[in-house]
Amino acid sequence: MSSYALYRGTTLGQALDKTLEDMESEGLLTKSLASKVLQQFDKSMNKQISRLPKEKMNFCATQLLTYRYCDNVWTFILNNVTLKDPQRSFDEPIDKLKVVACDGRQTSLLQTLSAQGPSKRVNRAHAAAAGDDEDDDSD
Amino acid sequence: MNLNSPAVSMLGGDTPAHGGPNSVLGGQGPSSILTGHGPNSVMGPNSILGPGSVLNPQSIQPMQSQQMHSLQGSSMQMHSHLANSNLNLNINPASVGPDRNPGSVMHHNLDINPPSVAYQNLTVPMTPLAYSVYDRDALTHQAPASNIAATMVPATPASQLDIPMPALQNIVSTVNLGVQLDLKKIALHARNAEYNPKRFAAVIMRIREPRTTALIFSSGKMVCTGAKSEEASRLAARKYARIVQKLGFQAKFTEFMVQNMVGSCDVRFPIQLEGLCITHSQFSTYEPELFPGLIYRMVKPRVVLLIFVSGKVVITGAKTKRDIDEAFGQIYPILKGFKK
Repeated sequence: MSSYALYRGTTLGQALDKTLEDMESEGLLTKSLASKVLQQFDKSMNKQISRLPKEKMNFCATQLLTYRYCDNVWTFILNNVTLKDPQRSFDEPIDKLKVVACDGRQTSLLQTLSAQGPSKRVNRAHAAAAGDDEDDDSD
Repeated sequence: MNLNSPAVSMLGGDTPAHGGPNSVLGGQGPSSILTGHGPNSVMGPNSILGPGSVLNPQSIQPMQSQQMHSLQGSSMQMHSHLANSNLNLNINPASVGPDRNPGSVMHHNLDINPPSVAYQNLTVPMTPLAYSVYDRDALTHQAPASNIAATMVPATPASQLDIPMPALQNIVSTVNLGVQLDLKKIALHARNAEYNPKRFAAVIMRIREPRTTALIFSSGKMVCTGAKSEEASRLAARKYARIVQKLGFQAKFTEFMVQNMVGSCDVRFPIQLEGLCITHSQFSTYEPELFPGLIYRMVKPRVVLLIFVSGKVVITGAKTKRDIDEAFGQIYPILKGFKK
């Protein structure tokens, strides 16, 4: 049962990916095993994020530059975004922000999320600065 | 023939109807309509030939010298061929109906209220009251008299009579790109696109200029909505076709066709919908419990009008702008008849 692979783009996911590549090139790991490790990483990340405290982060954008909806995944690219978080403060607005929002109730994730019950299956959003994940759209 | 003799006086004399204080056609009484001194006169400040009038005196051509020999006070000497003419001065605004042609004043009704002329007759030339000056010396010594001229002056345009025109609000058009499309590829690579095959079997795409939405189907057919003009709709459809082309499909731009036009207008007066529904029951549907507007299905042009009590009108189902204008031209006099 596969899970969302969108967390591979995070700093932690990229570090794991680079480590697995290095281990593969040194012959310490087979390609199939590296693939299984990444799949387990996807499962674990989805599971942990669904368990995290539901603290809300507010953001306000000047402009919605582009949006996309395909395969139950919303992608938004926002311009001039101001973030507000009770835990940490953001001094200046972000020029470009990419938001990828997935449906936590998707059938492929039911097994992963069954321990939390239906009330815990909430929508999760992954936000990354545009520098990390640039949009490759053609217009 | 002298029309000023006491026995056969038509336009002059001293009778109350001709020259007295309540004179209709002459004199200087308060009710005089054809001289320059009565408050309700045709030439007076509140008149249709006054300074802020619809019929500006400067724009009216003077009569030919053959039409009148002399002008003396409130009496007139006319040619014998004008003596038998039927002069009917009608102050009633409803005198010019929607099916009447307001022709020459010498043979038809004279309507003192030009805005009452029906919408479709505005293009018909009207003969307003003409103001001509023949004897400057005579006019300096006595009160100016009005003349009823047979010269043709074009009618006041619709814009001056403040008749509203419907504005286009939405255009739906279709185009065939002539190639099978991979909708998932379009949704994944194009910007501002939505694709949910479980809900709707087309990609929903939007562009900002012209501000429109397109439904792109896998067959290559496309529907473009939201444009405010036919040209904007065509331009938007071309832009969508270009986006699809850039994604690697051999898209062509064929069979562009406007399918529907929606226009709206405000007549700026409340309407009696119940009366309109009863009178035009063949074309009307009015169920205030279900929908607050009256649905009027016009036969020619074949459009549907939504008429609201506030005076707002929505015209839909048209294929061309001309259909919308024609439909409004037909409904406007009807709505005027059911003014609250």
